[in-house]
Amino acid sequence: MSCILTSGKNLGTFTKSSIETVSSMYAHLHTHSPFSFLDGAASIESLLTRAAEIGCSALAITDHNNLSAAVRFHKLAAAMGIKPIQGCEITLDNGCHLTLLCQNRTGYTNLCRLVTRAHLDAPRGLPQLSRRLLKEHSEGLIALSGCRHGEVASLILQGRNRQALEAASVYAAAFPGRFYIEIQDNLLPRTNSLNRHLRDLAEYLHLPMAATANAHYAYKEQFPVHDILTCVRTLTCLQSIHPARRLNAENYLLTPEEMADRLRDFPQALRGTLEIAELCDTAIPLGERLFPFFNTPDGSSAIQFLRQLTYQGAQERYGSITTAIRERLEHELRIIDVLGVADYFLVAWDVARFARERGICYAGRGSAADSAVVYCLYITNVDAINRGLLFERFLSLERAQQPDIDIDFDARYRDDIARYVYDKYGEDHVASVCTYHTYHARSALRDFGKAMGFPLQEVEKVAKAFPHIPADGIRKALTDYPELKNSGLPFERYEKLFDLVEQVAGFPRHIGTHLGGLVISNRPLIEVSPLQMAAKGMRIIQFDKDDIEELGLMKLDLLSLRTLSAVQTAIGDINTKQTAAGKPLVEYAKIPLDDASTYAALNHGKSIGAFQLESPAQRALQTRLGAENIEDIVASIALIRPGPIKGNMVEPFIAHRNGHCSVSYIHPDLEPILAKTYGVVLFQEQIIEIAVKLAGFSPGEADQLRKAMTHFRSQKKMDQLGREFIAKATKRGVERKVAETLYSYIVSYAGYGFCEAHAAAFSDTAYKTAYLVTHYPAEFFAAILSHQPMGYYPPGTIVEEAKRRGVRILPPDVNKSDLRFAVENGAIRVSLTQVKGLSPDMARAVISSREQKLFESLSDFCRRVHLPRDVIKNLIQVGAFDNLHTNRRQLLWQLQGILAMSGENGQPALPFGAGDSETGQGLSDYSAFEKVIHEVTLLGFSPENHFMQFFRPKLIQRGIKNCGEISNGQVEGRVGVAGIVIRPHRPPTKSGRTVVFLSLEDEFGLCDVTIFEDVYKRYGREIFHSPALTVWGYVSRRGNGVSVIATRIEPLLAE
Amino acid sequence: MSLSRLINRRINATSDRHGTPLRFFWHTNWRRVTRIHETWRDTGSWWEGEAEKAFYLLQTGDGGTYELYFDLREKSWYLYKIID
Repeated sequence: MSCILTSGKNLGTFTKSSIETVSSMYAHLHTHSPFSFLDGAASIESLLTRAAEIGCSALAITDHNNLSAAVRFHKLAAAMGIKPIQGCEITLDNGCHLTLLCQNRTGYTNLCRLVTRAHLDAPRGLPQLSRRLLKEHSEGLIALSGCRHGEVASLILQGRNRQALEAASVYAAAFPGRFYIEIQDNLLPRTNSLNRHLRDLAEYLHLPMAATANAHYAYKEQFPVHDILTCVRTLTCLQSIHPARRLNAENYLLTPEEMADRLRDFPQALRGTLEIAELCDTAIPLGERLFPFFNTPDGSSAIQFLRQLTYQGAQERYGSITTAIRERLEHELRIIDVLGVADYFLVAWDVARFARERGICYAGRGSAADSAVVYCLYITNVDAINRGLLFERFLSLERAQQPDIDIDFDARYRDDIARYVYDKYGEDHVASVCTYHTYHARSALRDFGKAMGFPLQEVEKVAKAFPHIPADGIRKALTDYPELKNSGLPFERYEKLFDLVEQVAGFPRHIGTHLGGLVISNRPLIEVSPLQMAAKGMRIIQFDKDDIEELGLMKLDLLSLRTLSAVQTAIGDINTKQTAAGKPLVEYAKIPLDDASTYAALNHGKSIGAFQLESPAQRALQTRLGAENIEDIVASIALIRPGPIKGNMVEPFIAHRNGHCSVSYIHPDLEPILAKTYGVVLFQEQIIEIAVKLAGFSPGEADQLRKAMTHFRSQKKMDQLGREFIAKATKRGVERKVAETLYSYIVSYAGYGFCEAHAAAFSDTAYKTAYLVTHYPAEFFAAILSHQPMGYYPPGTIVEEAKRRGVRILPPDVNKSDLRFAVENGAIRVSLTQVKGLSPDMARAVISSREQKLFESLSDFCRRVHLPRDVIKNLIQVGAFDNLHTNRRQLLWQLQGILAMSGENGQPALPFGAGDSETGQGLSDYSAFEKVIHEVTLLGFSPENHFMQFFRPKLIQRGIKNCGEISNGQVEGRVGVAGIVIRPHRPPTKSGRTVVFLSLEDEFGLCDVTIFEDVYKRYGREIFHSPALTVWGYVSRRGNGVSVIATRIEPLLAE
Repeated sequence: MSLSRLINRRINATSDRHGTPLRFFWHTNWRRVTRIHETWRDTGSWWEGEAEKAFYLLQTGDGGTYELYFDLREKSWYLYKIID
């Protein structure tokens, strides 16, 4: 019989267009997407494309124990005219599978409950649902008996037919009239007999049947990908046998003809499939509004309370509320009211208030800073009115998107803030947003390389050879990146590996937790999304940030920013010093924004340690820009972004800013809009203003224009927008030619512009951290080092910068070092926890013991503090006992004896040089170079020396300059310079050509190096794989900045 | 419990339009297939270039039970096992 049947039955409330397409029905009801995590080998797009090709009018996604694919599957399927059926293959408490499909919204809610229980009632990562919960939550769900791992089928395969009958009866009772016996034919042994038994059972119990393909990929050719993903999932390799691996490549989306042929003896099952497809309606609740309700203290409405708080804040912020301020606030409040998002603003206000009252440092960021209301609520510190920022960039009636407020908190207290939100809105209404860890080139190469049986070291070498690129960019990278071409790796051996890797680009590998996003819902979240436990111990929903908006959930980004932790720590240390010296306290919020020495330091590129201003690109910009006020900092932050760099906005901006070319405006109305950026369109807000002022767009329409231009999805759309802009502008009296020119300008800039509000929000922290670096380098660098990882540079670079600023770095000391880096008489004492292997608990044990009495010797230390031998060895090798005994090698010898006497056996031999004796007396200490090697290995830097100083005599002999000579401008023309390589990177360029930037570091400073494509092509391998380089080239001077343009590169250690 | 003998030798066989074997030649005789007990597919070691095979566990007119497979790349039949 043919599987294509004509159906005239009611299809529920699914979209009209799809109803029309569902006249000849064919459906697949058991399909796994990549969200089955390592058990689905075809993207949702691929599954739907295949479904369309074979005439499927309905498709169900039934991933293992999650609904993560639901939103994107629903949207894509609806767009392709295929009926999406939401479902899940759930694992039961007996380890068996059950296929569940949602008939309607009630079914979806019940499925969310069941999946949640499966996760939360079982150990993390091993979801199992108690079968007794099925009946309680079965309404709106259709159950299929499942694959061979289903209870009924597996009992039959074991020959336990009576138990199979009993199990089927239990399911039938739990899903009255909605339990189907599922049959499949994946051409596996014993299928014929299994299916015959299943049919007999169904007939005996008068149960309907349904046929499925149990598809784990769309096309047969995708089987190898599924097989290798299975190997990754089961921690096996291709050569190993594992029951989870499939015998054949038959788990694809079979055509109607294949299904009809294979299951020709079971026409009732084929009919059952179609019957189910018809019974299932749209289930996922999209487009609802689930924002939380904010309970106001006086019972007033949210908008009333928001207005009250806003005006109260405005009074405090502005002193007096002028007509202009009132008009602006009323404008924003009206839009907030119309969009019904006052509660959201109050939730954000409440969180900020909580932090403020507890002295937790925070700062709002992003486009929310375009709002004066948000400023008056003390969520951001950007005065949107005085800056002339447009609210519509954040929120508009036309766009009607959900507002998105992001707040950075001192990283140490972010979890306290989250806890407050959980407590306030209830555990059932709050959860973290999930993220999906997706396959990129390196991760896929590692996983698949191991599964293919390549030696681990070889796999690691190949994976590390590739930059961070998408998995399907591997072959292009082999031709584009010279460091790969010249790597010497036998890439021809990995052809099959690369084939497989390319096919999983972007596939989710596992679920994780979003760094800051919390969803807060007015309805219990369990009705909207399954919940599961994250590794960090909090509940996460099974949808990511892109999906939650579709579900109508509100996300509040509460982010951790270590810079704010460093600021708080530094301010505390500074004020301790100020108090001791009888000087006034430093208030971070009141740091003057016009400090000449801070700007002077910035102008000379001395900004390492300053938030957002420390990268080589930023330092180079600062040396040319000549920043002298906070507006220059705002512009700086906006300029050094991929967009403005690709849009070539940096050079015109500097030229205009420094008066190297005159600023002129093609229309006088542009002057007030562009004056602050010297005639250059730098900010997205300026595009909106231009469209409003010159073409009469409403602010909301103008933001839509800005957004359309930013994404530039089609030329047709751009042309249409252009016609509209020009027509409107000319109607307002702008000359047609001027309007056309203006449109061409904003088209070319719109895609590259940056959000001014975001830049302004960051600029406050950027400037103030630059101020702290300038005036309190010891305290601020100590704080930065204590809160690693943070910022652009590794700790070693921060340490070197501190030294250059005259701050001495003191080695760790068991009698003096603390848990964190501390300022000691103007110097920075390295913390105990910086020593490799020494945990905070171990450090506390050391500190606690010495508080009783200082350590007198190594043996005294070992007697009182019980640390692993390797950790004590590390402490010795970084000089933590130097104040007790100056010879580190002798101490290592003594350690062996001390530990042997204390009964520690079986320790591997310690490293000794020539001349060791039983007492260790007479052993010479390590050389200075050996000490530096130990320190760099175990601390990440040498407190008092630098690796490069040991090469200096030889480098001088060769005429190679040091970094200080170059950056101080003492050298011109052709030079050679050598140093440790710091962060080589290839930012995007307008031309698309590759330019590599890196810094060389030596004992005198940093030297920035620029490597153009022709040189990079010759030396790519050395650049990205050598820890230290000698670079030959010529000095380039721009503004106060100096860099070297490379012409030849050598690995230093080969010399 | 049945025992089996591994043969794994190419044979002559005929099949119907579904590819199901009808008879095959083994040990001087053509043997007529009277019943197919089971069929399955096996992709084997695909990463080593092994071809996919369609297996048949069948019974012949003389009462023997055999396992045959059709190599889908070679398009040829093999007698894989004889089941005692």
